[in-house]
Amino acid sequence: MSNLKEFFQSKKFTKSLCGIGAAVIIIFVFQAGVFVGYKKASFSHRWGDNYHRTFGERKHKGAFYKGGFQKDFSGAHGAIGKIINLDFPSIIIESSDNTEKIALISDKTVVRQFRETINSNGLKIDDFVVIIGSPDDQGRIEARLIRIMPSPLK
Amino acid sequence: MRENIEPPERLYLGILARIEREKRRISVIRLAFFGVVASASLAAIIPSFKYVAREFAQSGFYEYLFLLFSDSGAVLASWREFALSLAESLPITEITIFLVMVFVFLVSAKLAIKNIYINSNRKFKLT
Repeated sequence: MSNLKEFFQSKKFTKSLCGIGAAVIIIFVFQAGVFVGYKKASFSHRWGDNYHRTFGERKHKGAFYKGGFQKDFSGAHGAIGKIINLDFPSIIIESSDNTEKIALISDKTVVRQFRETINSNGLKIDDFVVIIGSPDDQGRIEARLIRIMPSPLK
Repeated sequence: MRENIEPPERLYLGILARIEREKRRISVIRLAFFGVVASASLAAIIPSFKYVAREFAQSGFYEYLFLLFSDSGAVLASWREFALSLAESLPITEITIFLVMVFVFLVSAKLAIKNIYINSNRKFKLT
């Protein structure tokens, strides 16, 4: 019994616990990275597949390759930029990275301006918006929240 | 039989002085090396921090984070999408570069200071 007590109070036991804790954290972070990376990559793949069908030829040179380890992949659960086209239920926004993204508005979508919740008809072209939502199988974002922001200064 | 042989005192002190000189030479080389590494990494911390700050601004991380304060109710209702949009906009590569620079600076500064301490606390003063 005393041996057991000594074992639980020993430095080896504490180090083992720390090791297991560190391993759990590393595995969790790794899995989170894999999950987010997979989501981004699959969204970008579907977005790229549908890009030419929707928008025709790309208008910005280098819009598809931006360099870096993960900059080629566009965020799948959000978009930030200016509204360039409104065709309800879909809106097209131009992101800060010069790519166009389609967001779909549904009954679940909450549109907010200042402190108020407004109707989606209140969205206008050139509004600067932040959208969060979930990706669909055509590289679009099913918007859950659209926040109209003041346009950033250039 | 050999264990009982006592070296002459002058030879003994000469050997110790030589060992000290060699230790000092090694610690001076280490000090120079870690000093250069610490200086270089300290110099790299500033641009890498600017790079991280710029990427945070460009990735839209601040805008997503702002939603937490402006639309907390709606964000909580869609917490999964919100968390993923934050995770996706996090500039991981740039943060990693910055943290590596900080790590290298701290480790090299520690080793450089340790070598300064070793140099200034020699038991045997060299002749």
